[in-house]
Amino acid sequence: MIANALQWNPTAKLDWTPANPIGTGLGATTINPMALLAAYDDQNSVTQVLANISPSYKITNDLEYKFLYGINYGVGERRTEIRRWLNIQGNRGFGQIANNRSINQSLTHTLNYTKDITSNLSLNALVGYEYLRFDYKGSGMQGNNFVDYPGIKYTDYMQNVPSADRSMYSFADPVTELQSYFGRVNLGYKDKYLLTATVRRDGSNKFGKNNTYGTFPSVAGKWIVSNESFLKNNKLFSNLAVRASWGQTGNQEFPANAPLRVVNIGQGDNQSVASLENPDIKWETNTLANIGVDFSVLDGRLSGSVDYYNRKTTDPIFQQIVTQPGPPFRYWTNLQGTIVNSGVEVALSLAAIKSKDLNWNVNVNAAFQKNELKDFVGAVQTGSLSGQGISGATAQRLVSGQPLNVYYLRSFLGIDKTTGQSNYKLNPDGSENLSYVGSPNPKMIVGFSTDLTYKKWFAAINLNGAFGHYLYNNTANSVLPIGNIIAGRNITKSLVGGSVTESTSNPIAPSTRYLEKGDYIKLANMTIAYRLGNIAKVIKNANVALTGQNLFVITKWSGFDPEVNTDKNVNGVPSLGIEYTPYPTARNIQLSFSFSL
Amino acid sequence: MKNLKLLVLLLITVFSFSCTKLEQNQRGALNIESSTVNAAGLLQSAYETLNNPFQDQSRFWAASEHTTDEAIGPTRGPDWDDNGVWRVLHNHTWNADHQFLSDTYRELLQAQFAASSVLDKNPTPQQAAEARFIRALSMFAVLDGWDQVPFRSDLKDLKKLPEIKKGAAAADFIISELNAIINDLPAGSSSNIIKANKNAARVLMMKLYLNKGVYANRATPTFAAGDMQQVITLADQITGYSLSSNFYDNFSPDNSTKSTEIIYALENTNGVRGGNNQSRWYCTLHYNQRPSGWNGFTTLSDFYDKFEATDKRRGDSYTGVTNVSGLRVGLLVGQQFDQNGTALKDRSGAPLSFTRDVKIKETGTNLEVTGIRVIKYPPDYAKEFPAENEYVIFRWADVMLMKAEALLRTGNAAAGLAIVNQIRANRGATALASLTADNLLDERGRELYWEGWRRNDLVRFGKYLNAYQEKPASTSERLLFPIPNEQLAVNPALKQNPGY
Repeated sequence: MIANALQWNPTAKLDWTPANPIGTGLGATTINPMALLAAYDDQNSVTQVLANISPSYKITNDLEYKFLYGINYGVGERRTEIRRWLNIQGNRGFGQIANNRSINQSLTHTLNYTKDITSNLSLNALVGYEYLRFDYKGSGMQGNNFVDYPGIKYTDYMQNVPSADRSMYSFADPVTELQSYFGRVNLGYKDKYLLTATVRRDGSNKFGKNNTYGTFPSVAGKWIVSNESFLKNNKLFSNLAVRASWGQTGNQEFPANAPLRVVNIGQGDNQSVASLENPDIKWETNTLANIGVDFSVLDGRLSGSVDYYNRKTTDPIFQQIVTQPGPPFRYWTNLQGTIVNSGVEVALSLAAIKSKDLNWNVNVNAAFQKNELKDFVGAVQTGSLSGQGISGATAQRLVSGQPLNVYYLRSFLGIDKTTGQSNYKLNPDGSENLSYVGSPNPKMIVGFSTDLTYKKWFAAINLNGAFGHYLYNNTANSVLPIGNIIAGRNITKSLVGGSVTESTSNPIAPSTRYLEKGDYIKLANMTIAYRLGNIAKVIKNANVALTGQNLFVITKWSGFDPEVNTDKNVNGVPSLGIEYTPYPTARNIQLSFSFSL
Repeated sequence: MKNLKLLVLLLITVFSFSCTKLEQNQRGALNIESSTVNAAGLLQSAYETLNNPFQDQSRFWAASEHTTDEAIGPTRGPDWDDNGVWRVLHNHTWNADHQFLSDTYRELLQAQFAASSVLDKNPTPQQAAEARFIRALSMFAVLDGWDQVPFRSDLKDLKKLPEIKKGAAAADFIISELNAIINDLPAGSSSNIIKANKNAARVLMMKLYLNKGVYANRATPTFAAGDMQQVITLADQITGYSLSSNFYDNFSPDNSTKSTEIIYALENTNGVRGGNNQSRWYCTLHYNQRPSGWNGFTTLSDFYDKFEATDKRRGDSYTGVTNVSGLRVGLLVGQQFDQNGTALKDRSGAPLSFTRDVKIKETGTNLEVTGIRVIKYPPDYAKEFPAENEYVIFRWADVMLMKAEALLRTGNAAAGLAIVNQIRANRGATALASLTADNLLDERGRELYWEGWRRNDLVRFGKYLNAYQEKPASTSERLLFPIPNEQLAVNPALKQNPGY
């Protein structure tokens, strides 16, 4: 839709009729975006029912039992159609109805013991059991080749499709169950020294028999320095604390079938081996170490924190290539490599003006981060690029010694003055050169917010931004290249009027030409409100507010929105920071009136 | 007290469904150990694993045609750059990361695995024989392209590395497999073409004997008289086929009933099973032809010029196609028309007139219409995805030409010439006066173009590394494809082929 709208010849009218869906557009392969909008229908309805009960019972004054049960029942139905008259290759009218149903349940028992052992030493201990169950099923039918009855949805007369053009499916994912035993101890001494230790034993039926359970401990301590006698009467710090923590968590995000050699049931007498079993797959462990300082000065008007963290993922669960001959194509396993994320986070909060009528607060935070994949064998391609002319091309890799999703591309050197063709950096032997040319992971993420209250007026703004990363403009690469001129389609404005004329025959090879800095600052939202208070005796706490979202972005990025991440995964390996014809982010302005009675 | 009783009751209820054993379960799919997984079901899917590696335009077909003088995938400005995958095939500059070559290698080995899986589920002798034929065919393709054929005889523990079979020894192994199963295979005939059969096994053995000298030494192959005699003997055992009266009946949407030549083909039945056979016409036809194509691949003028004007294989009209859309079959050059004889136009409004010349990177203003298009499979206007043209693997004309070649290589050119001229007469070409290696290679090209044999033929005749249109001469490592890096990374038993 977006691609067709961008490509539409701006001098052509957007008129269309079912008999002539192209309208005044050029060529049989042009899709009129207005016709496309009318021909497509995709409706998704979801119904969810949630229920929870959580009774508790105080066994003694210090000991309390709590029970929690929750159920989440959801059904969804999606109905999709493409009208027969739309000029998409192979289109004979398409209708699809897909249904799915999920039942997720959770059950928790906890025993909580709280006791001040001495006047200086307090203890809180908790043991618990938790059980989670996920059940997901679905089915669907689709048909091609409808007789078009205008005004009636294809999905309302699916029986119209000849039997050879119908297909259907159903599936039931294996039921996933998790159960955990956990305990936690909190100790506090003289409000100066706090210690928390936890241990969890998590089990999941996704793993094979040998590795069902994993044990994940954590420990954290805090020293509230400002409560020490030597700082008790200081004028500077109202709060000063030092924190340190270390902990592990487990991850089990992979399909439940992974330990088994699964045979899929196909049409008729067809059974196909679909996956290679890995009975040895085990929990992925994330180890997070953190040290930090919290402070608050000037009577609490300026407060903040500084943290350093290091997060290391060991035994990462990942899809590895099957050693052939074998079933398709990858299997889930724990990789040899590790992923290391580390960084510093700073947050500052200032109450700049604090008075009866006027209050002004300012908050700033910034995170500096770095990630790297280590000891990884081989290279995995991801970031599949889309569009006519670049089928099968990928832009990113997972490879040892580089950040996650590092770009792996040709280096663009400009347009040749005589031929009008792109020049790229070549290997010494003249062959094409692809190299690691940047990371889609921001080096710094910042947030800024401020609010001002004056009597009954209130105003707030939130800004966020990210810096030091690259984004790939797949839209410019394949939707709006110079060669569109040949077929009477639109091109991107930046291709016109330069000192060098690009040939319309210049191929659109993926390269650093479409790699851009992603730095931006965005005004995420802004609010102005006036508190009317009580009106007469009926209306209470009345408020009028004007809110704007996504009001402006400061960036050199040429795409729609630098906060972009179109899903361009390859075989489930996620991509990062690629833009391909997303819907532009909406700018919302909202006037609201709220009150209570 | 009442509350406490309630609580106790509640506790009993909830504990009764907690603390589970966390056992794995399967719904909607089977486990390989299940007794309901059977040989018949696995065999059907094993046949279907051949569809993608052989029928898709970016797999074995691309490896066998784009790398030769018969086919090229030109980059047309904004179209068909595809990160250079097509250019490096024709240029012979691919590397071990080439996605299509990697996918082809992997999918062929997956077919081997699917076939071997049948053998673990108590197959009947015929089911076992069919599975071993599928396995032999996939191993042959791997041997031909990559030399190193990973082979598993035991599928129980896939963490164990497979055995690597290579060169002439691998060819001998595949031949021994085919000899072992031939008695258990059903007889072949032109009406039994979509299942493994005795004649299909014989043709595959002919391919192996004919190329055995190549597999022993690809740079300078020699052809043992004994191997050539085997080719002749096997050809003589294949009976019941004849040349089709219309060349294109072998490829038409109803080729399963019309052709009298097909010995083995992959089944394409709409709504049931099939592969991407329609890509053969989509990838070559222009947008404004019917069906609207992807305006991609072409052949080259030197190849076009190997045909006589009367040769129906160069171009013909075909009932069910030309009268419906104006589209002709064979090689398309010059102005194209619709069924009413109206001249078609390209997207810029210029005449849709295919040029003889094509460049690997088109830079002209006419880049949409360059190159001679190839319609070997007449499009199926009734069914699509898949179209119902069965995809031909082995056919009678190939058997005849292989026999002629074996005769030529054993000093009996006269007998070979008679066979070749029999084919030429059927196709509307004049008789050749003599048979040489060069004109036999040309005849194989004229007969079998775009069927996936050209690379195999050029290697065997020592012409694969030569310079031809839009390709400089290449060096001897190109006689093999590189072992894909993705498999090298996970299989230390594989060694990269020399020169990569």
